[in-house]
Amino acid sequence: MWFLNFLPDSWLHIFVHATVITGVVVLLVGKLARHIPTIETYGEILKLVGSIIFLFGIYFEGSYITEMGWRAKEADLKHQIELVQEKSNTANVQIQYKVVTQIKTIHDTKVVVHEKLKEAAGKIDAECKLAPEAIQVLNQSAKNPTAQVIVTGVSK
Amino acid sequence: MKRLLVLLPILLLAGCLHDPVVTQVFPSVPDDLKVACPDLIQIDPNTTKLSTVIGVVTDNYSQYHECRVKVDAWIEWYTNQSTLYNSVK
Repeated sequence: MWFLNFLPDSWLHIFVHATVITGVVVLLVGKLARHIPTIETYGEILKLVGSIIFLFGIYFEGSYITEMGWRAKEADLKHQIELVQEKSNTANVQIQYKVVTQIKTIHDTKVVVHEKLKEAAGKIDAECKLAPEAIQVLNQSAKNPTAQVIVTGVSK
Repeated sequence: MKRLLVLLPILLLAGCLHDPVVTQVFPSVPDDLKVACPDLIQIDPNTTKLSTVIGVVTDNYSQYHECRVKVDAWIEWYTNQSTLYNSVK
């Protein structure tokens, strides 16, 4: 019931039950109208109007139950999403911390290795002179081989 | 009675389904993981010193370890977040 979306739960509750009760009351008044002199001529009309209001009320009751079911489902989903977002944020913070810590450890280790290398550089370079081919081979292996690959013929 | 027919469209519209407005946003990635791994460092072709080569190789090894940390973190991030995302039902 699209228009029920705009009504708060409490109003909806009152509106739906009031419609049923009004229908029943009008219907009963219509049934008893022949015994009440002032409205005895309106008996049939009151019964008709009462029946229609009652039918609407019953229909609204069904829709109301469905509407409440949807609202409960919606509230449950929102609650679940909030919890998941909270857990997701916590997981992100943990991963971020882990990455930063590990990268810092790697950097620290690199610094230590460079220090050792600096100390041993004299010894290392004393008896070894590299041929330019060795550098060429190393540089070739360090180049990203996929950097020059152009992918063609792939369509969505 | 004809006037009552005016109520018919309202009755029909009343049967429209409720459409719950709940949106779930896919979680964001930590900024550190959005940085691409750089290319490996090249050795100066004019050098003849082995220590210079070892220095560059050391830097490249570190680079690899950093990238590995990021890839592992991506796998962990995706596994965690997809499990959480799919847990909402």
